[in-house]
Amino acid sequence: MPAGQRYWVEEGILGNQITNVDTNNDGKMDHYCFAIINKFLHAKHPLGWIRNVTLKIDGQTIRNDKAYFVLRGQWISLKHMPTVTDIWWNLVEKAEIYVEKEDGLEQGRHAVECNLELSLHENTRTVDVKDAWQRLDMNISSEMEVF
Amino acid sequence: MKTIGVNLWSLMPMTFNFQKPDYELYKAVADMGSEYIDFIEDYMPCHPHPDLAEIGSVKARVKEYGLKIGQIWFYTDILGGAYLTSKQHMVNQLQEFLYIAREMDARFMCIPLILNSPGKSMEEGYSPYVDMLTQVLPLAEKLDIPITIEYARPGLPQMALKMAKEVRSKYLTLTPDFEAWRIATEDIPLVHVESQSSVSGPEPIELFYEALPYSRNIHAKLLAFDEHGEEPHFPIAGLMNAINESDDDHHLCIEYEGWIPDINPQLDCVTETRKCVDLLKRYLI
Repeated sequence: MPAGQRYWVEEGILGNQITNVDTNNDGKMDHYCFAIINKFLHAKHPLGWIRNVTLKIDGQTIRNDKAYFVLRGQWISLKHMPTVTDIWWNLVEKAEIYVEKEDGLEQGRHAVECNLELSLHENTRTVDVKDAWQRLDMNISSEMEVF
Repeated sequence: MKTIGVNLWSLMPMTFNFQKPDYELYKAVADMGSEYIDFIEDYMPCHPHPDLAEIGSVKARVKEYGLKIGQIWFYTDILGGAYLTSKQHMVNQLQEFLYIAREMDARFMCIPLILNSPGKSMEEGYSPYVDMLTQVLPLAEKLDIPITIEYARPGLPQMALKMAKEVRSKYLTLTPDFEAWRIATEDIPLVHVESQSSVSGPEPIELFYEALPYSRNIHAKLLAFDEHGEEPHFPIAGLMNAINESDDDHHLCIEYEGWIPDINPQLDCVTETRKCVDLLKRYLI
C-alpha cells in the first residue's frame, strides 16, 4: 500500500501530439488519436480496472461510444472498457485513444482532459464488475498540437 | 541467517522516467551489493498466464548479475476476488502464483493481507481468508514455496498473528511491513493510496517482536533519510534490534518508496535505495 494519495506518476502519461488518421483507407480522415502511457504505481491491471473514462477536447465532452482505447491493436470503446476483464495494460505500455471525427481535428493546439475512475479493488486478476469498491479520480490534461 | 534483498518497487522511476530495460534494474541491484532481488508482479510476465519462455529469460538475466530471487509479490486481495468470482477461482489463482514463484526459483510467494470486503468486516473476513489459504498449503509444501502474508495496515498485525498461530505451518508465514510501525511526521503523514485517508498508528513494537517467529520475509519499507543517513519515519533501531535478537532466519526485502509523487520524486532512486542497503547492513549484526 503506497504512502501518499496519488496512484500515478503524472509526467509523460499524456503526450503533446494529436494525429489525424484515415482508418479505412478511403482517402479521408475519420479519426484523430493521441497516446497514453501506463504510469500507475501498481501498473498491471485488466482494462476494466478503469471503471469510467470521461474525455473532453477543448472543453467539449466526447461521447464514450465515439472514442476508443486501442491497446496492441485491439479497439475497445470507452463505453465498454469497464467490461474488459482479460486484456492487461502493462507497465509503461503505450496505448492510444482514438476519437471518431469526420475530416479529423483542425490544425492547431487543443486542450485534452481525461478523467479516469480507478477501482480501489486490489486484485490484478479480477475486475470490480459489481462496482462495489470506491473509485479514485485521476484527472490529467495536456495541450496538444495536431500534426 | 539474515539476508537482504532489493525490491524492484524501489527502482520503478528507472522504468517510469527513463524507460530503462528491466535488466538495468537488476544490474543496479547487483551494484548495490545486494545478494537478492525481490520482484513485484509488474516486472513479471504473469498475465493473463505466465509466459514460461520470458520467465526463463528473466531468470537467466538475474543469474547473470549474480543475484538470487527472494520474494515474488502479487497485488492480490483474495477475499475481494472471491466476492467477485468464487473462492475456488481464488484458490486456483493462488495455486498459479505458487507455480510462477517456483518457476522463478523464488524463496517466497507474497500477497497482502486484506480482510475487509464489500459489506463485511475484517473479523468476518478472517475465516474465509484462512480457508482459502489452507486449501493451497498442500501445493505450497509440494513445491516448497512458503506463502507469506504481508501486512502494513492498522489492526492487521493482531489478525496476522492469530492466523499464523492457528494454522501453524511453515508454508504459511508472515511478512510484517515496517509501514505498520511508521510514525506520522509533518512531511509524510500517515495516508495511503488505497484508503485515501489518514490512518491510526503506529502499532506497538511488541507486535513486531511477537511476529518474528512466524516471519521469514520482512518488508523494510523506507521513505526518506536525514543528513546522517538515518530514516526518521520509522523506529528503525527498535525494529532492527528485534531482528538481531531473533534466532530465526529472516529476509529483509527493501522497499524504498521515497520516489512516489507525494514524497521526493526529484531524488535519484538508485542513490536512495543504496542508502537503504547501507542502513540495514549498518544495523544488522
